[in-house]
Amino acid sequence: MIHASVSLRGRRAFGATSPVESPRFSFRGSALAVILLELMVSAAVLIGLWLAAAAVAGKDLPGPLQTLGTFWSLIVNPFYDKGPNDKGVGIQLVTSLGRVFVGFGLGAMIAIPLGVIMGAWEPARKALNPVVQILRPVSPLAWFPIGLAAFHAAPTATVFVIFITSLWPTVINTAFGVSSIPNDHRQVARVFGFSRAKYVRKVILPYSLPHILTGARLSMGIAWMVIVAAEMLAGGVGVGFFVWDSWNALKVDRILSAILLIGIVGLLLDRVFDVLARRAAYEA
Amino acid sequence: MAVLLREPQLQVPTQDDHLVLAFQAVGKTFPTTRGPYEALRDVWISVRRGEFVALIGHSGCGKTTLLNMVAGLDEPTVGAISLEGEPVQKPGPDRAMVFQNYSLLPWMTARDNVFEAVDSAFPAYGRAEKAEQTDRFLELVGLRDAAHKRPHQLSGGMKQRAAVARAFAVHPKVLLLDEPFGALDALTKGALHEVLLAMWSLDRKTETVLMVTHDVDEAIYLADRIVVMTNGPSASVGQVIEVNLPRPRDKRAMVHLPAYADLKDQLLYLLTETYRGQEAGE
Repeated sequence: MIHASVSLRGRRAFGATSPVESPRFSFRGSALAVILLELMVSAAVLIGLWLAAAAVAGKDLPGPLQTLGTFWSLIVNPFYDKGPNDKGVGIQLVTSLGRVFVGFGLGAMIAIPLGVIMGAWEPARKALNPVVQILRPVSPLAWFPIGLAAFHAAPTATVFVIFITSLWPTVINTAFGVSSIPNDHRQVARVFGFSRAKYVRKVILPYSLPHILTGARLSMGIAWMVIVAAEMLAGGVGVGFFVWDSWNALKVDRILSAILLIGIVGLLLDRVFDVLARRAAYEA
Repeated sequence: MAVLLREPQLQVPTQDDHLVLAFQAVGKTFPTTRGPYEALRDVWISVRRGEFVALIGHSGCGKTTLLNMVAGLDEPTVGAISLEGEPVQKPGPDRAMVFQNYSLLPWMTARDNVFEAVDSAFPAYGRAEKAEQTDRFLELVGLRDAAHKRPHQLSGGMKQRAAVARAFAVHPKVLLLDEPFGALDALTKGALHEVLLAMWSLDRKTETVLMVTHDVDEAIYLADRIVVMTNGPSASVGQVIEVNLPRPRDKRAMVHLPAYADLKDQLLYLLTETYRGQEAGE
């Protein structure tokens, strides 16, 4: 089912709970104390802003305490399933994450080879760059109807939107990484007669892996943002649907809890790519 | 005896079995925004099998361009370069190079840097043979214990040892050295000279060496012949000096030989007076 009617009741104050800035972790000296202090400060800032927003908005915006209670009740029993319109938040998250991983994975399978070709071969870059530049700024949601027309199923269309969304940052960063291979590395490969396959596996990919992962990290970040919007359109199951469904039931505390949860999951996804990027990094 | 070809017209390729590398009327012109720049003009050099030839000259005289053309990384605008009678067309491990900045791939261990080159150069070898070849050459340059380290964990001298091992391990017909020790301190440089000469005399498969340098002592210590380049633009071969010092050479004893003093004097005179650098007072 598709929720096509979108009635906007502006609640600017909702913005106050958006992205929680992650502290830069550094495990040196008495780093743990510093981290705890930073976390406490950012929690205090967040709650302060929230209280201020709640004071302005009145009863319509639940305060931190009420929301935390709801948040707790949602996460203690995440996987209950009482029919299509009442599923635990864990099921919603897992469904959304599954769509994001499938769409992102398919996107990366296209985007990385495409980026390598564009970065390594000038004619390919010239031919494909205009296409990328035209399609990249298109709102991911504009692809949703195309997905519906192609697949006749809202969940598949959602994955399709994530797929399209995941392409661009990975393509662009991969192409940039590959095209910036230093002449020294290229000359080594030429002088020692590396085959094309060896050049790709032993020079191009290791050199551009940090760039590829930067692209993938950006792609994943956007995909996680887009999934919520796409599922609001698609309905059924998923965090986006959960948010929209809560709005229809006028349960703002559930929406705020979901926002908190979406933020935390997004942060964790970002951390994973950060760890991967550090693994791939090499010292020149 | 090695003969330098400097005749004005193109020669029929010599039927000399000992001739490995020949530059015949080689010229190089680069297009620039301010019109064409002729870097090299009418260069004739021939290198015989087993010879160690040093190219010396001021910066900008096109030494590295000459070396890159042998490697196949650059093409002459006019003239031809031939390796064992065949014109040089593209790069290949039969002309392995040691680069000035080491040029090891930073994401690989020293061993893998050598192994990948061996793997490319000897497709017919089995994996065990390639591994054995790799380890043998790492051992020869004294890198056995550091083989598993990545370039950033190695000192400049050790990086260049790895690069020397990589170049010798592929058995090039001509080994190309592009100011390989220019960035190293004097002691490290001396140690690398010993490594290079030991490899050169040990490994009978790599007999011929062409080295670019701007270090007069290095050229005398290592080379059989020294080709002194004139200054650019339109640089060419200025003079060729035979180094008739007996081998093996002892770096400390050598400096007391009258022949050494003569050679050094001659080279310094050529470089400071005859082919002076453009900078005033050089």
